[in-house]
Amino acid sequence: MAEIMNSNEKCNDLNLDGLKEEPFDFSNFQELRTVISSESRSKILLQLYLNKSDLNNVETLKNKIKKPSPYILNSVRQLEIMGLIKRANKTFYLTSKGSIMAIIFLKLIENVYIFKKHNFWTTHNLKQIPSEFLNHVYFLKDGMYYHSTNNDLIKPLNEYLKLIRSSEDLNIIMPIFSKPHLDGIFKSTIKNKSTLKIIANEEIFNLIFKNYKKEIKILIKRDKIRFWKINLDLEIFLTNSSKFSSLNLFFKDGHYDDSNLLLDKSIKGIQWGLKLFNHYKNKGILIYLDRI
Amino acid sequence: MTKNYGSVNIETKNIKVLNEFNTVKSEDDDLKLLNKFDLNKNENDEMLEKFDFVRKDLKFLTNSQIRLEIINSIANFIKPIKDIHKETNLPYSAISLNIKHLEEKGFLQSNYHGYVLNNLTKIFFKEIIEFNRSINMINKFFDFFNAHKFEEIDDEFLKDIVSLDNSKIIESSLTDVYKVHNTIIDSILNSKDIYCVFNFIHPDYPVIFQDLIKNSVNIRLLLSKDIHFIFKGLIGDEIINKGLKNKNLNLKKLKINKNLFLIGSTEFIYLGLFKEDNSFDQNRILFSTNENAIKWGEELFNKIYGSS
Repeated sequence: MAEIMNSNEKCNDLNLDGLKEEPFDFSNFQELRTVISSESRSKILLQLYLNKSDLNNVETLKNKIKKPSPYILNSVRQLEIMGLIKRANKTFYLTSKGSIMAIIFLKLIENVYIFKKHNFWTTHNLKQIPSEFLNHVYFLKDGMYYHSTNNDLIKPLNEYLKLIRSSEDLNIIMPIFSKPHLDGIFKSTIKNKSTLKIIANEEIFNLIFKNYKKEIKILIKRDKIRFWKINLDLEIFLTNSSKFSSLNLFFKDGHYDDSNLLLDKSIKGIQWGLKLFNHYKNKGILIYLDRI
Repeated sequence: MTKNYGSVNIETKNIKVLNEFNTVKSEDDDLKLLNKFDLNKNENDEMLEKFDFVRKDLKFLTNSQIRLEIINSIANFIKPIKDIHKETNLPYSAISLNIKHLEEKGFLQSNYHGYVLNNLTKIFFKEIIEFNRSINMINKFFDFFNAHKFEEIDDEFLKDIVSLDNSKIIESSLTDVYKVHNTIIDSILNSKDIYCVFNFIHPDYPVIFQDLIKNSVNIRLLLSKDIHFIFKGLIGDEIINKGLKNKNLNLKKLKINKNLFLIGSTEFIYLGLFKEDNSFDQNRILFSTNENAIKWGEELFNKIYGSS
Protein backbone atom coordinates (compact mmCIF):
# COMPACT_ATOMS: atom_id res chain seq x y z
CA MET A 1 0.00 0.00 0.00
CA ALA A 2 2.95 2.22 -0.58
CA GLU A 3 1.59 3.77 -3.72
CA ILE A 4 0.94 7.48 -3.54
CA MET A 5 -2.61 8.45 -2.88
CA ASN A 6 -4.19 11.81 -2.49
CA SER A 7 -5.84 12.63 0.77
CA ASN A 8 -9.32 11.12 0.97
CA GLU A 9 -8.70 9.22 -2.22
CA LYS A 10 -10.67 6.03 -2.36
CA CYS A 11 -8.67 2.90 -1.59
CA ASN A 12 -9.77 0.96 -4.59
CA ASP A 13 -8.10 -2.42 -4.50
CA LEU A 14 -10.70 -4.16 -2.40
CA ASN A 15 -14.41 -4.20 -2.78
CA LEU A 16 -16.00 -2.92 0.39
CA ASP A 17 -19.38 -2.18 -1.10
CA GLY A 18 -21.94 -1.01 1.36
CA LEU A 19 -19.45 -0.50 4.11
CA LYS A 20 -19.85 3.24 4.41
CA GLU A 21 -23.46 3.24 3.35
CA GLU A 22 -24.21 1.22 6.44
CA PRO A 23 -22.01 2.59 9.22
CA PHE A 24 -20.89 0.35 12.03
CA ASP A 25 -23.73 0.13 14.52
CA PHE A 26 -22.25 0.07 18.01
CA SER A 27 -25.53 -0.53 19.85
CA ASN A 28 -24.60 -4.13 20.65
CA PHE A 29 -20.87 -3.58 20.71
CA GLN A 30 -20.50 -4.90 24.27
CA GLU A 31 -22.07 -8.17 23.20
CA LEU A 32 -19.72 -8.51 20.25
CA ARG A 33 -16.79 -7.68 22.47
CA THR A 34 -17.87 -10.10 25.16
CA VAL A 35 -17.95 -12.96 22.67
CA ILE A 36 -14.88 -12.23 20.57
CA SER A 37 -12.43 -10.64 22.93
CA SER A 38 -12.30 -13.40 25.54
CA GLU A 39 -10.59 -16.65 24.66
CA SER A 40 -12.50 -18.70 27.20
CA ARG A 41 -15.94 -17.29 26.38
CA SER A 42 -15.34 -17.77 22.66
CA LYS A 43 -14.10 -21.30 23.17
CA ILE A 44 -16.96 -22.26 25.46
CA LEU A 45 -19.41 -21.07 22.85
CA LEU A 46 -17.62 -23.03 20.13
CA GLN A 47 -17.21 -26.14 22.29
CA LEU A 48 -20.93 -26.20 23.17
CA TYR A 49 -21.82 -25.90 19.51
CA LEU A 50 -19.19 -28.11 17.89
CA ASN A 51 -19.27 -30.84 20.51
CA LYS A 52 -22.94 -30.89 21.45
CA SER A 53 -22.83 -34.57 22.24
CA ASP A 54 -20.16 -34.16 24.93
CA LEU A 55 -21.27 -33.96 28.54
CA ASN A 56 -20.38 -30.31 28.74
CA ASN A 57 -19.98 -29.74 32.46
CA VAL A 58 -17.35 -27.62 34.18
CA GLU A 59 -14.88 -30.50 34.17
CA THR A 60 -15.19 -31.06 30.41
CA LEU A 61 -14.95 -27.35 29.67
CA LYS A 62 -11.94 -27.06 31.97
CA ASN A 63 -10.14 -29.82 30.05
CA LYS A 64 -11.13 -28.60 26.60
CA ILE A 65 -10.44 -24.93 27.18
CA LYS A 66 -7.45 -25.55 29.42
CA LYS A 67 -8.36 -22.93 31.99
CA PRO A 68 -8.97 -23.36 35.73
CA SER A 69 -12.51 -23.97 37.01
CA PRO A 70 -13.12 -20.50 38.54
CA TYR A 71 -12.18 -18.97 35.22
CA ILE A 72 -14.58 -21.27 33.40
CA LEU A 73 -17.37 -20.58 35.87
CA ASN A 74 -16.94 -16.84 35.50
CA SER A 75 -17.07 -17.09 31.70
CA VAL A 76 -20.08 -19.36 31.85
CA ARG A 77 -21.87 -16.89 34.11
CA GLN A 78 -21.29 -14.04 31.66
CA LEU A 79 -22.54 -16.11 28.75
CA GLU A 80 -25.61 -17.02 30.81
CA ILE A 81 -26.27 -13.35 31.53
CA MET A 82 -26.09 -12.66 27.80
CA GLY A 83 -28.67 -15.40 27.24
CA LEU A 84 -26.32 -17.47 25.13
CA ILE A 85 -26.12 -20.57 27.31
CA LYS A 86 -28.29 -22.32 29.85
CA ARG A 87 -27.63 -25.09 32.33
CA ALA A 88 -29.45 -28.22 33.37
CA ASN A 89 -28.11 -30.83 35.79
CA LYS A 90 -24.73 -29.13 35.91
CA THR A 91 -24.39 -29.43 32.16
CA PHE A 92 -24.27 -26.45 29.85
CA TYR A 93 -26.16 -26.02 26.58
CA LEU A 94 -26.54 -23.26 24.05
CA THR A 95 -29.81 -21.38 23.95
CA SER A 96 -31.34 -20.79 20.52
CA LYS A 97 -29.72 -17.35 20.48
CA GLY A 98 -26.42 -18.92 21.57
CA SER A 99 -26.61 -21.47 18.74
CA ILE A 100 -27.11 -18.81 16.08
CA MET A 101 -24.36 -16.75 17.63
CA ALA A 102 -22.00 -19.75 17.49
CA ILE A 103 -22.89 -20.43 13.86
CA ILE A 104 -22.25 -16.86 12.70
CA PHE A 105 -19.08 -16.79 14.79
CA LEU A 106 -17.87 -19.92 13.00
CA LYS A 107 -18.46 -18.22 9.67
CA LEU A 108 -16.42 -15.24 10.83
CA ILE A 109 -13.58 -17.52 11.91
CA GLU A 110 -13.61 -19.58 8.72
CA ASN A 111 -13.57 -16.50 6.50
CA VAL A 112 -10.84 -14.58 8.29
CA TYR A 113 -8.78 -17.76 8.65
CA ILE A 114 -8.68 -18.18 4.86
CA PHE A 115 -7.79 -14.56 4.28
CA LYS A 116 -5.03 -14.64 6.85
CA LYS A 117 -3.63 -18.02 5.88
CA HIS A 118 -3.43 -17.45 2.13
CA ASN A 119 -1.81 -14.24 1.02
CA PHE A 120 -3.37 -14.93 -2.38
CA TRP A 121 -6.29 -12.83 -1.11
CA THR A 122 -4.36 -9.91 0.29
CA THR A 123 -1.74 -9.45 -2.38
CA HIS A 124 -4.18 -9.19 -5.26
CA ASN A 125 -6.79 -6.77 -6.43
CA LEU A 126 -10.16 -7.99 -5.18
CA LYS A 127 -12.31 -5.12 -6.38
CA GLN A 128 -14.14 -7.28 -8.93
CA ILE A 129 -15.08 -9.92 -6.42
CA PRO A 130 -18.38 -8.65 -5.03
CA SER A 131 -18.75 -8.38 -1.26
CA GLU A 132 -21.26 -11.19 -1.22
CA PHE A 133 -18.62 -13.54 -2.62
CA LEU A 134 -15.86 -12.41 -0.28
CA ASN A 135 -18.31 -13.00 2.52
CA HIS A 136 -18.65 -16.61 1.37
CA VAL A 137 -14.97 -17.22 0.85
CA TYR A 138 -15.27 -20.06 3.38
CA PHE A 139 -16.87 -22.02 0.54
CA LEU A 140 -13.29 -22.24 -0.77
CA LYS A 141 -11.87 -23.66 2.44
CA ASP A 142 -10.74 -26.83 0.67
CA GLY A 143 -9.09 -24.91 -2.16
CA MET A 144 -5.51 -25.63 -3.19
CA TYR A 145 -3.14 -22.79 -3.97
CA TYR A 146 -0.59 -23.37 -6.72
CA HIS A 147 2.39 -21.08 -7.01
CA SER A 148 5.11 -20.80 -9.60
CA THR A 149 8.46 -21.90 -8.30
CA ASN A 150 11.96 -21.33 -9.61
CA ASN A 151 11.97 -24.96 -10.73
CA ASP A 152 8.59 -24.78 -12.34
CA LEU A 153 7.55 -21.34 -13.50
CA ILE A 154 4.43 -22.52 -15.27
CA LYS A 155 3.16 -24.87 -12.57
CA PRO A 156 -0.20 -23.04 -12.18
CA LEU A 157 -0.76 -23.08 -15.95
CA ASN A 158 0.07 -26.78 -16.17
CA GLU A 159 -2.30 -27.61 -13.31
CA TYR A 160 -4.98 -25.60 -15.06
CA LEU A 161 -4.49 -27.30 -18.43
CA LYS A 162 -4.45 -30.72 -16.78
CA LEU A 163 -7.88 -30.04 -15.31
CA ILE A 164 -9.27 -28.53 -18.48
CA ARG A 165 -8.35 -31.63 -20.43
CA SER A 166 -10.52 -33.88 -18.31
CA SER A 167 -13.36 -31.45 -17.69
CA GLU A 168 -16.66 -31.24 -19.43
CA ASP A 169 -18.69 -28.04 -19.81
CA LEU A 170 -16.66 -24.92 -19.02
CA ASN A 171 -17.84 -21.52 -17.76
CA ILE A 172 -15.11 -18.94 -18.05
CA ILE A 173 -14.68 -15.30 -17.12
CA MET A 174 -11.81 -14.40 -19.46
CA PRO A 175 -10.00 -11.12 -18.77
CA ILE A 176 -6.93 -11.90 -20.90
CA PHE A 177 -5.98 -13.21 -24.30
CA SER A 178 -3.61 -16.07 -23.58
CA LYS A 179 -2.80 -18.60 -26.31
CA PRO A 180 -1.67 -21.37 -23.94
CA HIS A 181 -4.94 -21.13 -22.01
CA LEU A 182 -7.21 -20.73 -25.02
CA ASP A 183 -5.51 -23.47 -27.05
CA GLY A 184 -6.16 -25.86 -24.16
CA ILE A 185 -9.71 -24.66 -23.64
CA PHE A 186 -10.77 -24.99 -27.30
CA LYS A 187 -8.93 -28.26 -27.81
CA SER A 188 -10.54 -29.95 -24.83
CA THR A 189 -14.02 -28.51 -25.53
CA ILE A 190 -13.94 -29.86 -29.09
CA LYS A 191 -12.43 -33.18 -28.08
CA ASN A 192 -14.78 -33.73 -25.13
CA LYS A 193 -17.80 -32.54 -27.12
CA SER A 194 -18.63 -30.25 -24.25
CA THR A 195 -20.06 -26.73 -24.02
CA LEU A 196 -17.98 -23.58 -23.67
CA LYS A 197 -19.38 -20.42 -22.12
CA ILE A 198 -17.16 -17.35 -22.07
CA ILE A 199 -17.61 -13.86 -20.68
CA ALA A 200 -15.16 -11.27 -22.02
CA ASN A 201 -14.97 -7.63 -22.99
CA GLU A 202 -15.01 -6.45 -26.59
CA GLU A 203 -11.23 -6.38 -27.03
CA ILE A 204 -10.69 -9.93 -25.75
CA PHE A 205 -13.78 -11.17 -27.58
CA ASN A 206 -12.46 -9.81 -30.91
CA LEU A 207 -9.05 -11.37 -30.38
CA ILE A 208 -10.55 -14.76 -29.53
CA PHE A 209 -12.90 -14.57 -32.49
CA LYS A 210 -10.07 -13.63 -34.85
CA ASN A 211 -7.64 -16.29 -33.64
CA TYR A 212 -10.00 -19.23 -33.08
CA LYS A 213 -12.38 -18.92 -36.04
CA LYS A 214 -12.06 -22.56 -37.03
CA GLU A 215 -12.68 -23.86 -33.51
CA ILE A 216 -15.58 -21.48 -32.94
CA LYS A 217 -17.21 -22.61 -36.20
CA ILE A 218 -17.06 -26.23 -35.07
CA LEU A 219 -18.62 -25.33 -31.73
CA ILE A 220 -21.32 -23.18 -33.37
CA LYS A 221 -22.21 -26.10 -35.61
CA ARG A 222 -22.59 -28.28 -32.54
CA ASP A 223 -24.45 -25.50 -30.70
CA LYS A 224 -21.85 -25.79 -27.95
CA ILE A 225 -20.60 -22.26 -27.49
CA ARG A 226 -22.00 -19.14 -25.82
CA PHE A 227 -20.36 -15.75 -25.55
CA TRP A 228 -21.31 -12.86 -23.33
CA LYS A 229 -19.76 -9.51 -24.01
CA ILE A 230 -19.30 -7.31 -21.00
CA ASN A 231 -18.60 -3.60 -20.92
CA LEU A 232 -15.89 -3.86 -18.29
CA ASP A 233 -12.16 -4.47 -18.17
CA LEU A 234 -12.29 -7.70 -16.29
CA GLU A 235 -9.70 -8.43 -13.61
CA ILE A 236 -10.60 -11.94 -12.57
CA PHE A 237 -9.93 -15.11 -14.48
CA LEU A 238 -12.45 -17.68 -13.32
CA THR A 239 -13.03 -21.11 -14.75
CA ASN A 240 -15.86 -23.25 -13.50
CA SER A 241 -16.96 -26.73 -14.44
CA SER A 242 -18.86 -29.51 -12.73
CA LYS A 243 -15.52 -30.71 -11.37
CA PHE A 244 -13.73 -27.58 -10.19
CA SER A 245 -13.53 -23.82 -9.89
CA SER A 246 -10.25 -22.05 -10.50
CA LEU A 247 -9.31 -18.45 -9.96
CA ASN A 248 -6.44 -16.23 -11.07
CA LEU A 249 -6.34 -12.63 -9.96
CA PHE A 250 -4.61 -9.40 -10.94
CA PHE A 251 -1.93 -7.63 -8.97
CA LYS A 252 -2.76 -4.29 -7.42
CA ASP A 253 -0.74 -2.59 -10.18
CA GLY A 254 -3.21 -3.90 -12.75
CA HIS A 255 -1.09 -6.74 -14.16
CA TYR A 256 -2.39 -10.25 -14.54
CA ASP A 257 -0.75 -12.73 -12.17
CA ASP A 258 -0.14 -16.06 -13.87
CA SER A 259 2.00 -17.32 -11.01
CA ASN A 260 -0.76 -18.01 -8.49
CA LEU A 261 -3.78 -20.21 -9.01
CA LEU A 262 -6.55 -21.16 -6.62
CA LEU A 263 -8.17 -24.45 -7.42
CA ASP A 264 -11.13 -25.90 -5.59
CA LYS A 265 -12.75 -29.23 -6.39
CA SER A 266 -15.25 -29.26 -3.52
CA ILE A 267 -19.00 -28.94 -4.13
CA LYS A 268 -19.03 -25.64 -2.27
CA GLY A 269 -16.09 -24.33 -4.27
CA ILE A 270 -17.80 -25.29 -7.51
CA GLN A 271 -21.00 -23.57 -6.35
CA TRP A 272 -19.05 -20.42 -5.46
CA GLY A 273 -17.47 -20.31 -8.90
CA LEU A 274 -20.71 -20.95 -10.74
CA LYS A 275 -22.46 -18.18 -8.82
CA LEU A 276 -19.67 -15.75 -9.61
CA PHE A 277 -19.84 -16.72 -13.28
CA ASN A 278 -23.60 -16.17 -13.29
CA HIS A 279 -23.16 -12.84 -11.53
CA TYR A 280 -21.05 -11.54 -14.42
CA LYS A 281 -23.09 -13.34 -17.05
CA ASN A 282 -26.11 -11.32 -15.92
CA LYS A 283 -24.14 -8.13 -16.53
CA GLY A 284 -23.16 -9.18 -20.05
CA ILE A 285 -24.94 -9.35 -23.39
CA LEU A 286 -25.32 -12.67 -25.13
CA ILE A 287 -23.67 -12.58 -28.56
CA TYR A 288 -25.26 -14.56 -31.35
CA LEU A 289 -22.09 -15.90 -32.91
CA ASP A 290 -23.80 -17.47 -35.90
CA ARG A 291 -24.94 -14.00 -36.99
CA ILE A 292 -21.43 -12.55 -36.99
CA MET B 1 -61.73 -15.75 0.82
CA THR B 2 -59.83 -14.93 3.98
CA LYS B 3 -61.60 -16.23 7.01
CA ASN B 4 -60.93 -16.17 10.68
CA TYR B 5 -61.13 -19.46 12.45
CA GLY B 6 -61.75 -19.59 16.17
CA SER B 7 -59.59 -22.58 16.75
CA VAL B 8 -56.85 -23.40 14.36
CA ASN B 9 -56.11 -27.06 14.22
CA ILE B 10 -52.40 -27.19 13.97
CA GLU B 11 -50.92 -30.64 14.21
CA THR B 12 -47.27 -31.09 14.67
CA LYS B 13 -45.95 -34.63 14.69
CA ASN B 14 -43.44 -35.07 15.60
CA ILE B 15 1.79 -20.96 4.60
CA LYS B 16 4.11 -19.63 3.92
CA VAL B 17 2.05 -17.47 6.05
CA LEU B 18 2.60 -13.92 4.98
CA ASN B 19 0.99 -12.30 7.91
CA GLU B 20 0.32 -8.61 7.50
CA PHE B 21 -0.26 -8.43 11.24
CA ASN B 22 3.40 -8.62 11.89
CA THR B 23 3.49 -8.34 15.62
CA VAL B 24 0.57 -10.54 16.57
CA LYS B 25 2.58 -13.64 15.87
CA SER B 26 5.81 -14.17 14.08
CA GLU B 27 5.85 -16.05 10.81
CA ASP B 28 7.56 -18.97 12.53
CA ASP B 29 4.84 -19.11 15.16
CA ASP B 30 2.24 -19.26 12.43
CA LEU B 31 4.07 -22.02 10.63
CA LYS B 32 4.40 -24.01 13.82
CA LEU B 33 0.72 -23.58 14.47
CA LEU B 34 -0.21 -24.68 10.98
CA ASN B 35 2.16 -27.63 11.03
CA LYS B 36 0.35 -28.80 14.11
CA PHE B 37 -2.66 -29.47 11.92
CA ASP B 38 -3.16 -33.16 11.49
CA LEU B 39 -5.03 -34.17 8.37
CA ASN B 40 -6.88 -36.85 10.27
CA LYS B 41 -7.89 -34.55 13.04
CA ASN B 42 -11.54 -34.23 13.61
CA GLU B 43 -13.12 -31.25 11.97
CA ASN B 44 -14.29 -29.73 15.20
CA ASP B 45 -10.84 -29.65 16.69
CA GLU B 46 -9.61 -28.16 13.45
CA MET B 47 -12.14 -25.36 13.82
CA LEU B 48 -10.82 -24.60 17.29
CA GLU B 49 -7.29 -24.48 15.88
CA LYS B 50 -8.43 -22.16 13.13
CA PHE B 51 -9.85 -19.95 15.84
CA ASP B 52 -6.49 -19.97 17.61
CA PHE B 53 -4.86 -18.85 14.37
CA VAL B 54 -7.00 -15.69 14.13
CA ARG B 55 -7.98 -15.17 17.78
CA LYS B 56 -5.45 -12.51 18.74
CA ASP B 57 -6.16 -10.42 15.66
CA LEU B 58 -9.91 -10.55 16.23
CA LYS B 59 -9.44 -9.76 19.89
CA PHE B 60 -7.20 -6.77 19.24
CA LEU B 61 -9.55 -5.28 16.67
CA THR B 62 -12.73 -5.74 18.68
CA ASN B 63 -11.42 -4.98 22.14
CA SER B 64 -11.80 -1.23 21.76
CA GLN B 65 -14.67 0.75 20.36
CA ILE B 66 -12.29 3.64 19.63
CA ARG B 67 -10.13 1.39 17.46
CA LEU B 68 -13.15 0.19 15.52
CA GLU B 69 -14.36 3.74 15.03
CA ILE B 70 -10.97 4.74 13.62
CA ILE B 71 -10.91 1.70 11.33
CA ASN B 72 -14.45 2.49 10.26
CA SER B 73 -13.41 6.02 9.41
CA ILE B 74 -10.50 5.00 7.16
CA ALA B 75 -12.02 1.79 5.79
CA ASN B 76 -12.38 3.21 2.30
CA PHE B 77 -10.38 6.42 2.32
CA ILE B 78 -6.89 7.45 3.28
CA LYS B 79 -7.22 10.13 5.96
CA PRO B 80 -5.08 12.27 8.22
CA ILE B 81 -5.80 12.39 11.96
CA LYS B 82 -7.55 15.75 11.56
CA ASP B 83 -10.18 14.23 9.26
CA ILE B 84 -10.62 11.17 11.48
CA HIS B 85 -11.24 13.52 14.41
CA LYS B 86 -13.74 15.55 12.37
CA GLU B 87 -15.64 12.43 11.40
CA THR B 88 -15.60 10.57 14.70
CA ASN B 89 -15.44 13.36 17.31
CA LEU B 90 -12.92 11.26 19.19
CA PRO B 91 -10.25 13.20 21.12
CA TYR B 92 -6.96 13.70 19.27
CA SER B 93 -5.05 11.93 22.04
CA ALA B 94 -7.22 8.79 21.79
CA ILE B 95 -6.91 8.74 18.00
CA SER B 96 -3.13 9.14 18.10
CA LEU B 97 -2.65 6.45 20.73
CA ASN B 98 -4.84 3.91 18.96
CA ILE B 99 -3.38 4.65 15.56
CA LYS B 100 0.06 4.08 17.07
CA HIS B 101 -1.09 0.66 18.39
CA LEU B 102 -2.70 -0.26 15.08
CA GLU B 103 0.39 0.78 13.16
CA GLU B 104 2.75 -1.05 15.51
CA LYS B 105 0.77 -4.23 15.04
CA GLY B 106 0.71 -3.83 11.27
CA PHE B 107 -3.00 -3.20 10.85
CA LEU B 108 -2.50 0.11 9.08
CA GLN B 109 0.17 2.16 7.42
CA SER B 110 0.81 5.84 7.03
CA ASN B 111 2.02 7.95 4.19
CA TYR B 112 2.28 11.65 3.47
CA HIS B 113 -1.51 12.00 3.15
CA GLY B 114 -2.60 10.08 6.21
CA TYR B 115 -3.48 6.57 7.31
CA VAL B 116 -4.67 3.61 5.33
CA LEU B 117 -5.72 0.10 6.32
CA ASN B 118 -3.92 -2.98 5.07
CA ASN B 119 -5.97 -5.24 2.85
CA LEU B 120 -6.11 -7.92 5.51
CA THR B 121 -7.38 -5.43 8.09
CA LYS B 122 -10.05 -4.29 5.65
CA ILE B 123 -11.18 -7.86 5.15
CA PHE B 124 -11.17 -8.55 8.89
CA PHE B 125 -13.15 -5.38 9.48
CA LYS B 126 -15.65 -6.28 6.81
CA GLU B 127 -16.20 -9.66 8.44
CA ILE B 128 -16.53 -8.04 11.88
CA ILE B 129 -19.16 -5.67 10.47
CA GLU B 130 -21.09 -8.63 9.13
CA PHE B 131 -20.85 -10.41 12.47
CA ASN B 132 -21.98 -7.26 14.26
CA ARG B 133 -24.93 -6.86 11.90
CA SER B 134 -25.92 -10.45 12.59
CA ILE B 135 -25.82 -9.83 16.35
CA ASN B 136 -27.91 -6.70 15.95
CA MET B 137 -30.41 -8.62 13.89
CA ILE B 138 -30.65 -11.50 16.34
CA ASN B 139 -31.30 -9.01 19.13
CA LYS B 140 -33.82 -7.08 17.06
CA PHE B 141 -35.79 -10.28 16.48
CA PHE B 142 -35.01 -11.81 19.85
CA ASP B 143 -38.59 -12.93 20.54
CA PHE B 144 -38.73 -14.63 17.18
CA PHE B 145 -35.53 -16.61 17.59
CA ASN B 146 -35.57 -17.18 21.32
CA ALA B 147 -36.96 -20.50 22.55
CA HIS B 148 -37.75 -21.56 19.02
CA LYS B 149 -36.43 -24.46 17.02
CA PHE B 150 -34.42 -23.73 13.93
CA GLU B 151 -32.50 -26.97 13.61
CA GLU B 152 -34.52 -27.53 10.45
CA ILE B 153 -32.64 -24.68 8.80
CA ASP B 154 -29.21 -25.77 7.59
CA ASP B 155 -26.22 -24.08 9.20
CA GLU B 156 -25.30 -22.87 5.74
CA PHE B 157 -28.41 -20.68 5.78
CA LEU B 158 -28.10 -19.66 9.41
CA LYS B 159 -24.62 -18.39 8.60
CA ASP B 160 -26.36 -15.94 6.27
CA ILE B 161 -29.12 -15.07 8.70
CA VAL B 162 -28.17 -11.41 8.29
CA SER B 163 -29.92 -11.60 4.91
CA LEU B 164 -33.16 -11.32 6.91
CA ASP B 165 -31.98 -8.08 8.49
CA ASN B 166 -34.54 -5.84 6.82
CA SER B 167 -37.48 -8.04 7.74
CA LYS B 168 -40.24 -7.29 10.15
CA ILE B 169 -42.11 -9.46 12.59
CA ILE B 170 -45.84 -9.71 12.17
CA GLU B 171 -47.47 -10.50 15.47
CA SER B 172 -51.01 -11.20 16.46
CA SER B 173 -52.54 -8.86 18.99
CA LEU B 174 -55.52 -8.87 21.32
CA THR B 175 -57.48 -6.92 18.78
CA ASP B 176 -56.32 -8.94 15.82
CA VAL B 177 -55.62 -12.49 16.89
CA TYR B 178 -55.50 -13.85 13.34
CA LYS B 179 -53.28 -11.11 11.97
CA VAL B 180 -50.46 -13.52 11.10
CA HIS B 181 -52.67 -15.92 9.21
CA ASN B 182 -54.64 -13.22 7.41
CA THR B 183 -51.52 -11.35 6.32
CA ILE B 184 -50.05 -14.51 4.81
CA ILE B 185 -53.26 -15.33 2.99
CA ASP B 186 -53.47 -11.83 1.53
CA SER B 187 -49.96 -12.14 0.16
CA ILE B 188 -50.57 -15.60 -1.28
CA LEU B 189 -53.74 -14.50 -3.02
CA ASN B 190 -51.88 -11.68 -4.76
CA SER B 191 -49.03 -13.84 -6.03
CA LYS B 192 -48.29 -15.13 -9.47
CA ASP B 193 -45.82 -17.69 -8.22
CA ILE B 194 -45.42 -19.23 -4.84
CA TYR B 195 -43.44 -21.85 -2.96
CA CYS B 196 -44.37 -23.30 0.40
CA VAL B 197 -43.08 -25.72 2.98
CA PHE B 198 -45.46 -26.67 5.73
CA ASN B 199 -46.39 -29.60 7.87
CA PHE B 200 -49.86 -28.65 9.02
CA ILE B 201 -53.10 -27.80 7.26
CA HIS B 202 -55.02 -24.71 8.05
CA PRO B 203 -58.69 -25.09 7.07
CA ASP B 204 -58.31 -22.15 4.63
CA TYR B 205 -55.44 -23.70 2.69
CA PRO B 206 -57.24 -26.28 0.51
CA VAL B 207 -59.75 -23.71 -0.75
CA ILE B 208 -57.06 -21.14 -1.41
CA PHE B 209 -54.80 -23.58 -3.24
CA GLN B 210 -57.72 -24.85 -5.32
CA ASP B 211 -58.22 -21.29 -6.55
CA LEU B 212 -54.51 -20.70 -7.13
CA ILE B 213 -54.22 -23.87 -9.21
CA LYS B 214 -57.31 -22.96 -11.24
CA ASN B 215 -55.91 -19.45 -11.79
CA SER B 216 -52.64 -20.86 -13.20
CA VAL B 217 -50.48 -19.52 -10.39
CA ASN B 218 -47.12 -21.32 -10.36
CA ILE B 219 -47.02 -23.34 -7.16
CA ARG B 220 -44.26 -25.41 -5.63
CA LEU B 221 -45.52 -27.22 -2.58
CA LEU B 222 -43.51 -29.29 -0.15
CA LEU B 223 -45.63 -31.08 2.41
CA SER B 224 -44.79 -33.38 5.25
CA LYS B 225 -45.56 -37.06 4.80
CA ASP B 226 -48.42 -36.88 7.28
CA ILE B 227 -50.40 -34.23 5.51
CA HIS B 228 -49.40 -34.85 1.89
CA PHE B 229 -52.14 -37.42 1.38
CA ILE B 230 -54.78 -35.46 3.35
CA PHE B 231 -54.01 -32.25 1.50
CA LYS B 232 -54.32 -33.93 -1.88
CA GLY B 233 -57.64 -35.38 -0.78
CA LEU B 234 -58.97 -32.01 0.34
CA ILE B 235 -58.01 -30.29 -2.91
CA GLY B 236 -59.36 -33.11 -5.02
CA ASP B 237 -57.82 -35.29 -7.73
CA GLU B 238 -59.40 -33.33 -10.55
CA ILE B 239 -57.81 -30.02 -9.62
CA ILE B 240 -54.49 -31.62 -8.65
CA ASN B 241 -54.32 -33.36 -12.03
CA LYS B 242 -55.20 -30.13 -13.78
CA GLY B 243 -52.31 -28.35 -12.04
CA LEU B 244 -49.90 -31.15 -12.84
CA LYS B 245 -51.04 -31.28 -16.46
CA ASN B 246 -50.72 -27.50 -16.86
CA LYS B 247 -47.37 -27.70 -15.12
CA ASN B 248 -48.26 -24.90 -12.72
CA LEU B 249 -48.28 -27.26 -9.74
CA ASN B 250 -45.30 -29.09 -8.32
CA LEU B 251 -46.22 -31.16 -5.32
CA LYS B 252 -43.59 -33.01 -3.35
CA LYS B 253 -43.45 -34.98 -0.15
CA LEU B 254 -40.79 -34.19 2.42
CA LYS B 255 -38.52 -37.14 3.07
CA ILE B 256 -38.25 -36.13 6.68
CA ASN B 257 -40.83 -33.92 8.36
CA LYS B 258 -39.60 -30.41 8.91
CA ASN B 259 -40.73 -28.20 11.74
CA LEU B 260 -40.56 -25.21 9.49
CA PHE B 261 -43.01 -22.89 7.83
CA LEU B 262 -41.73 -21.15 4.74
CA ILE B 263 -43.77 -19.38 2.13
CA GLY B 264 -42.26 -17.19 -0.54
CA SER B 265 -42.48 -15.77 -3.99
CA THR B 266 -40.43 -13.41 -6.13
CA GLU B 267 -41.86 -10.59 -4.02
CA PHE B 268 -41.85 -11.74 -0.41
CA ILE B 269 -40.87 -14.33 2.13
CA TYR B 270 -42.59 -15.53 5.31
CA LEU B 271 -40.67 -17.61 7.80
CA GLY B 272 -42.36 -19.22 10.77
CA LEU B 273 -40.69 -21.25 13.49
CA PHE B 274 -41.83 -23.95 15.85
CA LYS B 275 -41.56 -23.57 19.58
CA GLU B 276 -39.41 -25.84 21.69
CA ASP B 277 -42.50 -27.92 22.53
CA ASN B 278 -42.85 -28.66 18.76
CA SER B 279 -45.95 -26.54 18.31
CA PHE B 280 -46.04 -23.95 15.55
CA ASP B 281 -45.85 -20.40 16.81
CA GLN B 282 -48.88 -18.99 15.05
CA ASN B 283 -48.60 -15.66 16.83
CA ARG B 284 -45.50 -14.35 15.11
CA ILE B 285 -43.94 -14.68 11.73
CA LEU B 286 -41.03 -13.04 10.02
CA PHE B 287 -41.89 -11.20 6.83
CA SER B 288 -39.71 -9.49 4.28
CA THR B 289 -39.85 -7.98 0.82
CA ASN B 290 -36.11 -7.33 0.83
CA GLU B 291 -34.17 -8.73 -2.11
CA ASN B 292 -31.57 -10.53 0.06
CA ALA B 293 -34.24 -12.12 2.21
CA ILE B 294 -36.22 -13.26 -0.84
CA LYS B 295 -33.08 -14.80 -2.29
CA TRP B 296 -32.29 -16.48 1.04
CA GLY B 297 -35.79 -17.97 1.22
CA GLU B 298 -35.75 -19.17 -2.38
CA GLU B 299 -32.37 -20.86 -1.91
CA LEU B 300 -33.50 -22.47 1.34
CA PHE B 301 -36.62 -23.77 -0.37
CA ASN B 302 -34.61 -25.09 -3.32
CA LYS B 303 -32.27 -26.89 -0.98
CA ILE B 304 -35.14 -28.60 0.86
CA TYR B 305 -36.98 -29.22 -2.41
CA GLY B 306 -33.90 -30.78 -3.96
CA SER B 307 -33.52 -33.23 -1.11
CA SER B 308 -37.20 -34.22 -1.06
